[in-house]
Amino acid sequence: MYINAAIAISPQDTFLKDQIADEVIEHNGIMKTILPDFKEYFKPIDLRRMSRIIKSGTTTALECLKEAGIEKPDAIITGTGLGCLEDTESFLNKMIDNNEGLLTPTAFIQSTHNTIGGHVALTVQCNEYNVAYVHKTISFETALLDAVLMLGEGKAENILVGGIDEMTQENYELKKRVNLWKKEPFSNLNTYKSDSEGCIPGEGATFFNVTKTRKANSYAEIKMVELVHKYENIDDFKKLIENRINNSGITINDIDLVLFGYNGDDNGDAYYDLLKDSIFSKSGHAYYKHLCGEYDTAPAFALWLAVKIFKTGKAPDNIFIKKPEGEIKNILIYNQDINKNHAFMLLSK
Amino acid sequence: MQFDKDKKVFVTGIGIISAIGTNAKETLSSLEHKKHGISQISHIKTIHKDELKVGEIKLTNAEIKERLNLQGDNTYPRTTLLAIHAAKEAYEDAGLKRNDGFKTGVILGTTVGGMDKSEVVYKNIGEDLSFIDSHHCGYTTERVADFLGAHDFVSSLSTACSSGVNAILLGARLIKHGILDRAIVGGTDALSKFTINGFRTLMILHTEHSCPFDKNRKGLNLGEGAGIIVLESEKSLNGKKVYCELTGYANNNDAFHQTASSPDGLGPYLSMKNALEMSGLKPCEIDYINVHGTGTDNNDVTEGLAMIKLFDGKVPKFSSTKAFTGHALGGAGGIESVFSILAIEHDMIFPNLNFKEAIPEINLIPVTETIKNAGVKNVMTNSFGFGGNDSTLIFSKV
Repeated sequence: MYINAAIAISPQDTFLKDQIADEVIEHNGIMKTILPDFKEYFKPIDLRRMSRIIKSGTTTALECLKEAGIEKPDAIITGTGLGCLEDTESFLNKMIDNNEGLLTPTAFIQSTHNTIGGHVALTVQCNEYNVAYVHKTISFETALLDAVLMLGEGKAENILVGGIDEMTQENYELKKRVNLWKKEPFSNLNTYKSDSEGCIPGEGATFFNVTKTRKANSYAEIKMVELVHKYENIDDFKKLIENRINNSGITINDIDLVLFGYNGDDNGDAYYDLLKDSIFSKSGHAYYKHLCGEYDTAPAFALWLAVKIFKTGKAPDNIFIKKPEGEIKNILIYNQDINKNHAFMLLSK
Repeated sequence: MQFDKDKKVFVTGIGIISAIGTNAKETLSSLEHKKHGISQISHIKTIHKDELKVGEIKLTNAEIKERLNLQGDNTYPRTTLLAIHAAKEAYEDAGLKRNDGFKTGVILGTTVGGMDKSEVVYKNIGEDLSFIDSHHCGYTTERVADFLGAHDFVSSLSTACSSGVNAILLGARLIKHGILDRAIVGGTDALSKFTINGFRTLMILHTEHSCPFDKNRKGLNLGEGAGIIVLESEKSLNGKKVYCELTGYANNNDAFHQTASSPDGLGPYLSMKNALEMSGLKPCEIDYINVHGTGTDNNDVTEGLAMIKLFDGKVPKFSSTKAFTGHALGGAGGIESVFSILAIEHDMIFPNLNFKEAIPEINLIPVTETIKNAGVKNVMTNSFGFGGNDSTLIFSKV
């Protein structure tokens, strides 16, 4: 499976860009996305009615199709952890505050997890396969795996795959109480310097166009998407991952760079070390969540970053834990959620 | 990983809990004897209590927990409890055992995840903050996977009211790709104040008992429940009882409106057509369609038009069973898949309750009395949802 287009709206200046600037944009508290001017993408009524996530998701999806030179994909597959959170909260709050009175349907209609996939289908008039995966931190990787399956079935030639999540002030305050986020507003520039619980919340909308066959504009080949819900024995887990990589067409020693999902949370980061210092010890090491923050579909941002490293042949220095020597040809993206939902995406230039 | 399109996918276990029964046996008896489960709301504190009718499961959360021996745990939303209840039945029905060497996964669909619990504690947060975790749609799937010890693939999806069917569809595909030998799949949703009020703002809730496919239909009754089935490849069967084979599936998008169907039902037509093509069956070989049939103005006409187009006017026997259960949203596709499997297993077609007069635009008459010895070999079931999501499954007698 080949990636031909990648568009991201993120907390960095990434929309329609090919690279991350060397200077990281600083955020304190929620790492909010830097939004383009949506006026050229939506009618005034939709601009007013639609939430940030719907506008961001739809815009990245449409630009992605444009970059790939495709009018209508053969399938639209999305991943989102909490879906359209702002609309969900809006309807929930009004319902509780007004004691179920004076409610209007817009927020309810737009609250479903498949709103963006449905809206993109509607916009480009795509009647084909359309699904939204909603399994926490593997929502995007399940969507990407579905695309691999679908191309393998010969049912599609080109697919739009995306990961979309938004963070709200309300959710931020709520999750602070269970130590999911850092207690105090914390700069993303210090993401990995903390020795405390919690991480820095982020958000983003990222879409890719993937095809079965290699095109002139293909940047990367997806060699493997592997999901491991949980493991009992770390040695068996290492063996399993090593075997899967070795069966993908390259060997574990060919991996030039591993992009780890380190997020500064003491509870989770140690589980990355277990693989970093063992089966991946010979590869280069990098992290990326200081750029996008932590959110369920953050691995989609990592994939965007990897694709852009291939496309431009350059990587920003701020991502490296251990910079590899020579050209980066194979990148592995590894994300997990406090030792659950381990997800691997392996791609080659 | 090698896709084998000819690899057969069998149903070996079924589990169901809805307003008409807490297991497959009770459910079949209710369907056969036209015993519906529509009543007033009793578990949810809502100001709409007296003006709406719903398909509610009368067991309280505490009672469900007791049945599942989960007394010590107070954190599960009802959506999760219903799923575990149905999954346990399906798992035992299929005679599965933990760690038997076959790759077993769990994939579930839901619309609002743990909302039934979140909405109660949201503005009244005390010490129990567990709803933050249980709100996620993936939470239920993980609890079911843990309960059954099935961890080889665990994921969740949400395509609104077609979620349950799409979970079954993914399970079948993972088996055909050899990623799993066996998939525990389906849908679950509990009634919630959030969805009751949401559907109410759309003005598609009937205040009385719904009457799908009737000229005077006035909307749907919401419902709740879970329908979960075990899919297996030939490899893990070992001579065990097989209910039927999943011979066709399709997912298409109507691409018309977030909540309304296109005037001619293009999405429903495509999903039925593609599922039929995949099954290799002729249109006349479909013996029964368990339609989506919500009882809303829009759905029943467009689904009817799509059936007329696909079957060239010769629409097979069909019924909506939503007047029995209410519309259980993400649970509906799982529940109605179990109904379809029961139709094949017991050679029976279930009635469409409350039908009096055909809708003039389509002039289609559903089955209104239980038909026994109906010669049911192939059953089609539809589930359509917000976002234009239309999905169809076909189950066939082996």
